[in-house]
Amino acid sequence: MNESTNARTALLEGVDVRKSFGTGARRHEVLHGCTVRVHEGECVAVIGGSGSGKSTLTRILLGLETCDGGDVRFRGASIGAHGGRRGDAGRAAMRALRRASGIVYQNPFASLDPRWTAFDSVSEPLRLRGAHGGCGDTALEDRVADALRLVALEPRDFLYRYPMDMSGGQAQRVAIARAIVTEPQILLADEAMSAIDVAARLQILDAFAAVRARNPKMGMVLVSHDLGVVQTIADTIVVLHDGVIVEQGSAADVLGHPQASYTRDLIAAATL
Amino acid sequence: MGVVINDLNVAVSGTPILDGVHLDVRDGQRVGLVGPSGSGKSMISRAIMGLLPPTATCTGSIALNGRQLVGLPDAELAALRGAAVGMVFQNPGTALNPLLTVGRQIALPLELHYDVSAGEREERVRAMMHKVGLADDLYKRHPHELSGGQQQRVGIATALITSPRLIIADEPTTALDSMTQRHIVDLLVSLVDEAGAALLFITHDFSVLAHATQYCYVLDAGHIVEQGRTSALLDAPRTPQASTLVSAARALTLHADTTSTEGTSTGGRR
Amino acid sequence: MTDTPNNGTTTASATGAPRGFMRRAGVVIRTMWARGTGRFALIVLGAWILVSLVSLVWTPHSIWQTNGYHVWARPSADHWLGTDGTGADVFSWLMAGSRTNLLIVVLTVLFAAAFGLLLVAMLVSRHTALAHGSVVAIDALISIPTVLIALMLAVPLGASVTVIVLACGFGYGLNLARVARPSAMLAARSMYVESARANGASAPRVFFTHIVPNIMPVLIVQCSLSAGTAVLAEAGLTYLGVGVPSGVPSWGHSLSTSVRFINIYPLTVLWPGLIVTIAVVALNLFGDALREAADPLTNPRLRGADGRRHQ
Repeated sequence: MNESTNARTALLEGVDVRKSFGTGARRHEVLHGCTVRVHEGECVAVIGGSGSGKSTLTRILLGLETCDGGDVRFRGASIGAHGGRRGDAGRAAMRALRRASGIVYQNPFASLDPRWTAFDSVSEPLRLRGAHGGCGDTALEDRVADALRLVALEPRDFLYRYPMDMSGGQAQRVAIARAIVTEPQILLADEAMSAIDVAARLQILDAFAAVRARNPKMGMVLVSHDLGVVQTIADTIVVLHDGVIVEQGSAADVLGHPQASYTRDLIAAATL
Repeated sequence: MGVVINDLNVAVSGTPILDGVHLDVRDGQRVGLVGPSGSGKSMISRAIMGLLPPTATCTGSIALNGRQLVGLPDAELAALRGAAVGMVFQNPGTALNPLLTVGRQIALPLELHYDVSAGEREERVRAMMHKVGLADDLYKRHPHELSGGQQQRVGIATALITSPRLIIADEPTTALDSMTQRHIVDLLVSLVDEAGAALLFITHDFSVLAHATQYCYVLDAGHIVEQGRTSALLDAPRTPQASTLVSAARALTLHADTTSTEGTSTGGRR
Repeated sequence: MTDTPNNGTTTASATGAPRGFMRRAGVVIRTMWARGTGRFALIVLGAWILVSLVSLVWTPHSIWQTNGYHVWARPSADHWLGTDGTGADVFSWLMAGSRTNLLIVVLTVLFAAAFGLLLVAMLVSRHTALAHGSVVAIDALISIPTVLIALMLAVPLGASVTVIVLACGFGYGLNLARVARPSAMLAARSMYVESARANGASAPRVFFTHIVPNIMPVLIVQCSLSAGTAVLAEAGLTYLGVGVPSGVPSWGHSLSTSVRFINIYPLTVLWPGLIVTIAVVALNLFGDALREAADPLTNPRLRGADGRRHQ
């Protein structure tokens, strides 16, 4: 564990998070008390095989799913993530988290409305926040164009293009632009590269790097099973196996000197 | 023997997809076909299987074990599919019939192509399940009860049950996580080598090819732009298309220097 | 982000999809016109609307002008399509009838679409009890024949246009909801809807911005089928005496007054029958052409991508 970063208040933290699916005899716990912290400017990669619970954990962190035990805090305020008994304070923290987060999903062709242009999709979060209230359509278009430029898509060509006329890498960069156009404090990338061609993954990584450079205080959570992707971008790595965090620490430590045998297996599988 | 493709042109509704493709896979060879999505990789496997879309026109020559496939009536192609050529699909979740048990699924090509008694069929299926590392008690399970890796093992068993001389694997690991990917690739390679069959491995990821193949072709926009030994291509790609793919694979593969202590456990095939 | 210098040329020079409602509508109509079936539908529907409007101010003869000495006349220079059993001009009656049928078609489609969309909204609702309940309710109600509903409505309402519109709109609305449900569910469970919700979009907003556009192809086809069936239903219900009241001109009216003499004067049945058939065919072809032309996924010109493939 990195002591110096732990001393600061975390931007987003999940403490002893537990989650079960099913009821009665078929009930089984998929997360057995996981504690994860994301600080300002930090990129935390949650890695593990399929069924390890990594997607569930990060969805709980972002308030997209509830948990059955433990707590999620955004800037120290609990969002009251478990059960239906979310108090007023919890609801306020939850709203703050929602407004401050952006999500990039696995498959851009499923996460972009096929009947919307890039402009429609990228401007949606702004329009929903009423952020262009005083500044009109031109200002909205400028902000969308700016977000597209940041992910290396020329607005002239892409602003009014539909997803079906884009390659996977281009569509995913539009999805990234949608996630970052509101300048979120937290960005979740949920397997954002595994459905993309290997050649185009580098462009996605470049886009994420550009976003982080523009907004250095943004925290990022990266869910991946691909260590090659993780090593290029993550500061901290959390290794999840069967709902238990078997190892976490700085990327260099975890990849260079893995302690858990599961981590070693993962590294062995990923080395050329 | 194996498959020899000469000057293959495929156009779908008038749009050319493949343009003068030459490719051959001999018995006992493991050959890779790599290219970005949309380059026409899957169209080659469909042409070999005789599964081109109805609007497609196909000229050139595909010789499978010396037999010309282009222009063959569908009934004769159907007799070859599953018997002479086995196919492993990208997404095992959708390639398996959800209503069939694992045992029935694997037995299907045997039922279609060979006259074997039920007892012998079960015996051969169970032996094949053992080979691909599926536990015996999975015989009566349905696909949805299996993990992604287990499903792909069923897919491999189904493709290999009739001992075809050519196996086409179309992005067989893309839908799987990295650890399962490695297991599936290793399994496929060992089974193909054991049977002495030919393997055509289609992927967009060079790093997978390094483990799975000895020789490979790079496809871009319907043309074969480069071909050669996989190791040579990885070390020194000559064309920009190939070097894009190689550098992407290299940048996104765990660097050996970060994992110096673990380097030995990989037993690299290079 | 906002303070980045911008040369302000983005809007003017950006390539891609045509923007603005009028420009997009223009593209849609031109695409439909370019296809033979679409052109036929546009011409027939255009003529229908035109004739309806003209009939308000002019018909060759007044429809009330009868002539006891000149009944069941053959077509002539004076009576282009002949006269009916009262000696009234058939052509004038069909012209006047076209506006009644147009009104019925428009009202029925509007009612069916509104009712159908309400049902679809219930079907994709996040309240599972409401969603499940409406599936059962729709399946139960859809088994009631439209004619039966019309007969029951005719008891309190009498024979009127309202009966046709309510009965047909109700039946077609149910049908629309059932046919549109799969694609609506697909959109409702998609990641782009989750993304919109995560950004604070309300359920009605998600419904109108994401779900409705994505079921639009189904909606268009169903509405055009409803429109065609409404023309047929008007004829049937009027013949049964629960449709358009006697005295109001309509194609169904023209059919029902002459159909009894079909063996003696077949020509008088032929004209309204022919018009109904052409109208129904045109409506169905219109829906088909509109579906393809108005959907950006099937019409590359609407995406500003004439045959361009990615990269």
